Amino acid sequence: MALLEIKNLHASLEEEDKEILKGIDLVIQPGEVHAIMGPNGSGKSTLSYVLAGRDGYEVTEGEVTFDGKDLLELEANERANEGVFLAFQYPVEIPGVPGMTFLREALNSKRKYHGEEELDAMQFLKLVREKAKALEMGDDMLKRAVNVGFSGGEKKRNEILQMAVLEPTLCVLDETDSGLDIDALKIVADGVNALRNENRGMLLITHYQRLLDYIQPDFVHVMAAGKIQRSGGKELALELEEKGYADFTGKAA
Amino acid sequence: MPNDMANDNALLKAFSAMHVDGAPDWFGAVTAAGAETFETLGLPTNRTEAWKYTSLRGLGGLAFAAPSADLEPVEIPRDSVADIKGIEIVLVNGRLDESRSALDNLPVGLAITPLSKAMERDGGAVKHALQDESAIDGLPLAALSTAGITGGVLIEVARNADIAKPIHIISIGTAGDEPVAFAPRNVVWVGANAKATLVESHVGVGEGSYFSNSVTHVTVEDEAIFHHYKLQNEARSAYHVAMTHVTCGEKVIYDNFALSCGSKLARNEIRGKLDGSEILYAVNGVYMAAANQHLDNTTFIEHAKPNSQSREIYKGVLDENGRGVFQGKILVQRPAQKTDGYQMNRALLLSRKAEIDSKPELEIYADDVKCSHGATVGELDDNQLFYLKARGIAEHDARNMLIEAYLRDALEEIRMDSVAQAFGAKITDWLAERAKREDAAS
Repeated sequence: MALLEIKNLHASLEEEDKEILKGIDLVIQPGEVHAIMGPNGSGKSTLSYVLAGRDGYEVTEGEVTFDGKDLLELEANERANEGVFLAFQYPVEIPGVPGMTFLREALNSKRKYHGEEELDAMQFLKLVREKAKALEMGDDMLKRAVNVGFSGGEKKRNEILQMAVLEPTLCVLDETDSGLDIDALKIVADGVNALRNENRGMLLITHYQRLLDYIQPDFVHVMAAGKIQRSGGKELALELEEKGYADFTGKAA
Repeated sequence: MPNDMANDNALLKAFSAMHVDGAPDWFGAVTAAGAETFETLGLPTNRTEAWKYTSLRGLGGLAFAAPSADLEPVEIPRDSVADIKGIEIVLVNGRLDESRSALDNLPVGLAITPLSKAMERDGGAVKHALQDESAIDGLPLAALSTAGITGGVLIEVARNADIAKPIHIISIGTAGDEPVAFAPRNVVWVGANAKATLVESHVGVGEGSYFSNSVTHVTVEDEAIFHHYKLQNEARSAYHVAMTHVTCGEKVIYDNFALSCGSKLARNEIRGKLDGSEILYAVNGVYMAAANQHLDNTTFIEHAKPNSQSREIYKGVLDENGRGVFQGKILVQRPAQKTDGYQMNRALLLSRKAEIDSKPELEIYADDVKCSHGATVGELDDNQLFYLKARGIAEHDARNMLIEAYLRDALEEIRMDSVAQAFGAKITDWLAERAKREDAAS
């Protein structure tokens, strides 16, 4: 059974009544890493929000099956607890909410959802410290409020830390490379690569080929004007790097 | 309006029937002056500018009686009171409960005296405060309170004394079927270069309706530091009107924080006179209103001398049809050059039926000052909510986390950790109540 199956997905912004996704088809099998590349405004981020269940988008046609379940029927928090994880392009700052309180609440929500026992503060701290070490995140970072006072790179690392702790089965990474210098990109990529396994699927959304030097995808899709225009292996990314998106949009991007 | 007048008279009658045991002769003139001022001003309506957003109409209709002369035998409702280890003073329906108040064996430099005993002293701080006409001038509720003072204490902190343990006034209101009104009066005098903390817990026992109409006088002498924290957690059927008069001398640090979550209707009014230079004066607070609650914070800050600073930050959360009112006025007198004043009211509306009225006011006669004010009204941030939900946290838990963060942030203004913790627990309680309501509704 496919991990994720998107069939003819159409979606628009509720407020503007403007169709952004115009028939997406995509199948991700367990263990596969897919990259979606495309110019700005192609609908890449909308796809990630629709998968994560953000309010404000209306699915007008098509279906999304995740692990055999109708994903579109579920609330955002239920999708997360089922194993869908969106690493945000712009992780949100939440002053006043300690990062550790937030992450423990998130993990325990998932455990509760699956009928597992919740972790106490000590058990949780031990788990997080272990995962954080690999991402070079010290206690001083863990102590802060959610993303408050974090640099762009630290925010992205924090996303990967959450991913490592919550152990999702589908990771959607929205422009995870944006705003990262080479060192930060390597740490983040190592974190992502460490999470690759035979059961977990990944969807990397990116504008640039650069990220794919560090996280090698099994498949590359080009998205433009709300549709997947072409699919191929990782060599497609190199081709795009050379030629740009002009073939798909009619103009150089 | 004959109807209004009849209500005024009934209220005044209830208050006039109160008395302080063993009061001296001059006290009669004080209560008479209070009664007279109230008669002239009447119970304020929305037509009175200072009460534009807070109507006391509901008060007039209730037939309040003076509290009984004997103390009501009530337990201290520990769940409602701020949980701090303090030097406790207990008032029940405005009368001092001497048996449960720490009047003896106090730390060196601290004296706590029942109001009645303190009045016997000539030229004392109590006489000075009670005879101060400006404490009731144009202030109808303070005048009404003065017409019927029920009791209280004089708290004196000697020059140079450093009282580490907070002084904790616990004012308990309780009524049966018949509504009760009472008028606590506390006088605080902090000597030069002294340091002390006062916490007030205003709480209720039982379901009956009562009206607490208090006046507190605070004088902080030169270079003293006084922390003043108040928890208004009255019974939900209660009316709470509190006037605090603060006078600060040279280089004083005064900081006030009021957490309001109880009562049906409350007005917390603080009038500060900054009668010195280099004063740091802060009045802050948090208010949390739910169904049928009306919480008013009104402040007046007078900068009379140069080079002082005032800071004012209030944060409110209004749920269901809860209503909040914030009125803040800063008056800068001509000599008060280099005044630095800042004022902000932030309100978070959690329901379409909730309401906030903000009225900032600056009146400046000096030409070299820095004064700013602001007010914001908002709802919870959609981006933050989605972020929490995308990590598996259910909508109502996510909302509660964000409300708690918003409120707890305000507690940073409290300088004493134990008080910040005790007040934080009230925020947690309030959110738990809210979560219960939501669960019941879903």
